[in-house]
Amino acid sequence: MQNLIKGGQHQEDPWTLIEEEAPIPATGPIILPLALYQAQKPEWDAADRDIGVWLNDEQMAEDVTDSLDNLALIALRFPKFADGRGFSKARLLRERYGYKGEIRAIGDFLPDQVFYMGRCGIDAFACRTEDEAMIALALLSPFSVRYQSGTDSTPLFERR
Amino acid sequence: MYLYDSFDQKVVDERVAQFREQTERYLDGKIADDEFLPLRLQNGLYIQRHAPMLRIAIPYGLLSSRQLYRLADLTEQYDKGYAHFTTRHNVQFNWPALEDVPDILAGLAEVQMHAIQTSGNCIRNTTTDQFAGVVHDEIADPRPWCELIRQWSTLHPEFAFLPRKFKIAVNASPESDRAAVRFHDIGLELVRNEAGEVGFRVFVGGGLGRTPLVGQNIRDFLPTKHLLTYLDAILRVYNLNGRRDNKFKARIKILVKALGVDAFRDRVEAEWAHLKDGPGTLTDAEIERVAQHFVDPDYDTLSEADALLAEQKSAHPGFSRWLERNVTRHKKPGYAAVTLSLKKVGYAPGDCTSGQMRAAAKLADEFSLGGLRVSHEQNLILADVRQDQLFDLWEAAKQHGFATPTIGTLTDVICCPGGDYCALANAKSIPIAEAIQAQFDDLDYLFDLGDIDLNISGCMNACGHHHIGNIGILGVDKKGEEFYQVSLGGDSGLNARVGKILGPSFKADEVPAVVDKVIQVYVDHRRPDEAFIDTVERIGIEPFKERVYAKSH
Repeated sequence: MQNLIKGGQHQEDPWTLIEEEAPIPATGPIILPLALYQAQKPEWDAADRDIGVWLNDEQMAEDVTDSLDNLALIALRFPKFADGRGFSKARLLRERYGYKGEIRAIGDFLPDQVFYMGRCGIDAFACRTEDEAMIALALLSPFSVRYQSGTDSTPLFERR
Repeated sequence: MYLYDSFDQKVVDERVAQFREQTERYLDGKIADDEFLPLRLQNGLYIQRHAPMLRIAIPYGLLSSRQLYRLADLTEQYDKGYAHFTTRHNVQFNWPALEDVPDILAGLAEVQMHAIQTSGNCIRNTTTDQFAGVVHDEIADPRPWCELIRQWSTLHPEFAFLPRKFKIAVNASPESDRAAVRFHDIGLELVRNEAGEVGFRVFVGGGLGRTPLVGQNIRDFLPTKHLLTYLDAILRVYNLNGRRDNKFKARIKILVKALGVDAFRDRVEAEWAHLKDGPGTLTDAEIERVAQHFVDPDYDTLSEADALLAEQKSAHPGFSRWLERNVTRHKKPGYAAVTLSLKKVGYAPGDCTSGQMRAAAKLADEFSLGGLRVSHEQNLILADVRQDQLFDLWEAAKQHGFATPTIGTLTDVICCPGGDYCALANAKSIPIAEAIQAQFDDLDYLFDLGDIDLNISGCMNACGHHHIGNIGILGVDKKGEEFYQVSLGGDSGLNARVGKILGPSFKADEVPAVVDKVIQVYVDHRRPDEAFIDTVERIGIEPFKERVYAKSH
């Protein structure tokens, strides 16, 4: 994928996103549908490859908390850019459950949302198009002041 | 009032830069209409019937004369020289060009104003009592808390794409509720516990619109330092669980109703258990820093000017009326709060020309320490007027059409812009307000009728708060024709109640006569000193129904 932003830059994507019922490549890092991962969790956890999962809009942070140590990546699928559940899920994964791996936004989101996403702990963005990835890169940090706490800062009032 | 420091200024300046870039990208065809929609809405920009409409925040109703002068300039430079004050501490420009909006926002930012989150499915402008800080019976000044909520909600990264819009209001007066907190997604009431500490009683799930509901108590006492973490907990439960499949069932009130208030409370408490005492917990230093902006001004030491006012009243009956209706008691002896009416007959309720804005700003400078308030009844307030200057202020207010002495009466109508402007409306609302004002133009009669809230909305979205008017009027569409449904008994205050629908709806030209009949029933049945709302409560709506729908002989 040429549309990935991570670590503040446009990156080659080593991961393969596996859609429901799609064939799975024999090697390389894969992002599995959560249900598929859970169905054969011991096998996937023992596999000699990086495993990630993706959550659909109805799947919550709590659905993966028993696997966080085994997952190198958790992707949150935005079904529609107006659906903001992923923002809360990302914060829960980072702040409540202490997840340290990559949290990736996938699906239908706008480049204009990456700043808020970043503040909620999403650190990789699989944009819809390469053009949007370039725009997203420029929009990672449109604000230098953050009133609230986020995964990136304490509340402003502590520094006033 | 709160004055921005360099951090606050940076936020609004960077917001302008962000929206300028977004607007350019949109005009270049690089953002689709439906994707630009949330971006522009979160900057207050609607696409309306005739042109875009820009909704500007007046946070918790406070406005300086300097800001009002700037609004006047901007309406002339970029609009048609007038603006509309809304029912939620906002002001709307009805005719800006999309390309000009970034420049308008830049002009606002220079005077510490913005349009951030005045629309869209996010946390909106927080509202409160228009007399906050100057009423005699307040538990504590609500304004510092409103400002703390403003900062917390501004660009909140987690809650910018909620299932639906989200409105918070704060009341601090135990004897009355001018902020209608029980009709908000979250209503906060400042209270004191048995130990004498100040905290918040929290209501959730109130609202108007298609499903009017009174908010329910989910916490009797929240210590103030936990305010923001508790709000975070409520919002997170809503963001994750609120319905997103049907926009008419997406408000938090539907979630609270579906779960039941006890189950909803349990979820909030469970969430809050993790957030409580966490990073969002307010520090004494921050509470104090914000509160410092709202300390009392240097009031003169005065005594009540009763003798002088009595003399002026007897010489000028018009002044006497104005004093009775448009002047409110102040906590400091010798001072008063004055409501400048934007309800002059023949003008749309809440509308204000650039000339009137400058006149009001000048009056604020001359009579009220340079400050104004905006009320949800769509009037302007001068909150700190010396009683010995009331007469001069009345004379000056008359010249600018601000002295209509009808505050709180039947003709102090709350009214949305309606079908004349709004693309959502089913029917016009302003002409209905004007027809009722024309029908009830006898001031003595109006005074005798006393306090009556009459609220008009042009559609179910209820921007004119028709559900909670003592008399509510709702515009409905019947096969392409405009009709009006009348309800009675709504109450926005402590006895929060949704009005009951009287019966089949009426044509526009029938509405003034219907209101007249309703009023006649009240006059026939009222006990001495009984207010309209109390008579409706006592006798029920049947007698009103009978009179209004009686066949003419």
